[in-house]
Amino acid sequence: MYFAATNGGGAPYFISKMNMSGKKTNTSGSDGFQRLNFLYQASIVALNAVPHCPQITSVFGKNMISIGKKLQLKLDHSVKRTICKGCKVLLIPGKSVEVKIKPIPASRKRKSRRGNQRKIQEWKCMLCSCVKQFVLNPGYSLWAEQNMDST
Amino acid sequence: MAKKASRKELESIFYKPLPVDARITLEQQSHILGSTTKNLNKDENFLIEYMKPKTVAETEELTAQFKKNFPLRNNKTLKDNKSKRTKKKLLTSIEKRKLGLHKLPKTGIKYASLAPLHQLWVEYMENNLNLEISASGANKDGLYQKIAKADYHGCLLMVTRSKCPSYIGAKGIVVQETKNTFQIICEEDKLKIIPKRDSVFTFNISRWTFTLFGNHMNIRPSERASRKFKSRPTIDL
Repeated sequence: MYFAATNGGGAPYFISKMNMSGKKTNTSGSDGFQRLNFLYQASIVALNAVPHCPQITSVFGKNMISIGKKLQLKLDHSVKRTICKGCKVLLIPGKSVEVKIKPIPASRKRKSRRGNQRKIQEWKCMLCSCVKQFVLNPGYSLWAEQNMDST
Repeated sequence: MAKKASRKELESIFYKPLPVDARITLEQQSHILGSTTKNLNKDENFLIEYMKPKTVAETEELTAQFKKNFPLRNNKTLKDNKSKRTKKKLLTSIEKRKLGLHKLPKTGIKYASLAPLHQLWVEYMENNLNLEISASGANKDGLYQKIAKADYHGCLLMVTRSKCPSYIGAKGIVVQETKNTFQIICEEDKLKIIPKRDSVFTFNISRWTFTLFGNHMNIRPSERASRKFKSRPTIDL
């Protein structure tokens, strides 16, 4: 089941299938997905409403992750990357995260013949200073994205 | 009165001035070590001019005072108790409490700023419950299951009945839901923490009102999503 994030402020959509006779039936787990969708959008709205208190968004983030665990729903990578791993706060570059580009640390460098000139994009949460690192590789695409392109 | 007199006697026993020999050596030591105040020259003149009209002491005595050494008054701060984090991503519960992740501030959040959140919640519920079809149907179990599994962050709740009379009439937008409580921002911009137990809540969606019995909702919101609620013969406070 593919669950995508929508922009903050957009109306939530509901997932439903159409029967042969045209009646709407619910797909399995759609309730949970609707709830996750709502929680993600609510956290964006809450961060805009109360910018001095990002702890509210951590409430939403915690619920998102625990509901995903209980109902065995997977969060899309675009959603998961914006939730801090430590404090579960919504990460928005510039507002709640510091984004820096750093050279890859020596411990991660593999011994290769060509000089490894990869760089890392480092997201550091302003609240709890937990760090997320993404290796910058222009030719790389995620597995989920590859599948989407092919179908 | 007798007690006060004895107190003074006790004080005189404890707080005698130091013997003369000790006093002299301390003064010598302070001269040798130098004053603990840095940048003495700049401040000294200002201090002396400030103190002149206020004390009877002469300037030489004042400068001697400034040059005293207070060995216990060091500029060392207490060691910052930086908790050594072995894992870079996980936070210990102490760290979480320090960051204030469990408790929301009581006065910072305004009711008016949460209006868009409430609107989002109403849209979510309307889409989720599909009230036009389900409310008129005969079998409402599906509807009740959905209500039980729904998320209430941003809901405008009102306490209609409760065993504790002070909770009755509390109305506000839900900001946090825990296992035992609803945390509500009421119209006076205050955070109210209302326990779910022994309370009955109501909320409105367009033209329908729903009641929630708090006694049966004493579950964490994430676990409520997967719970199957059994029908009971009597539900009440």
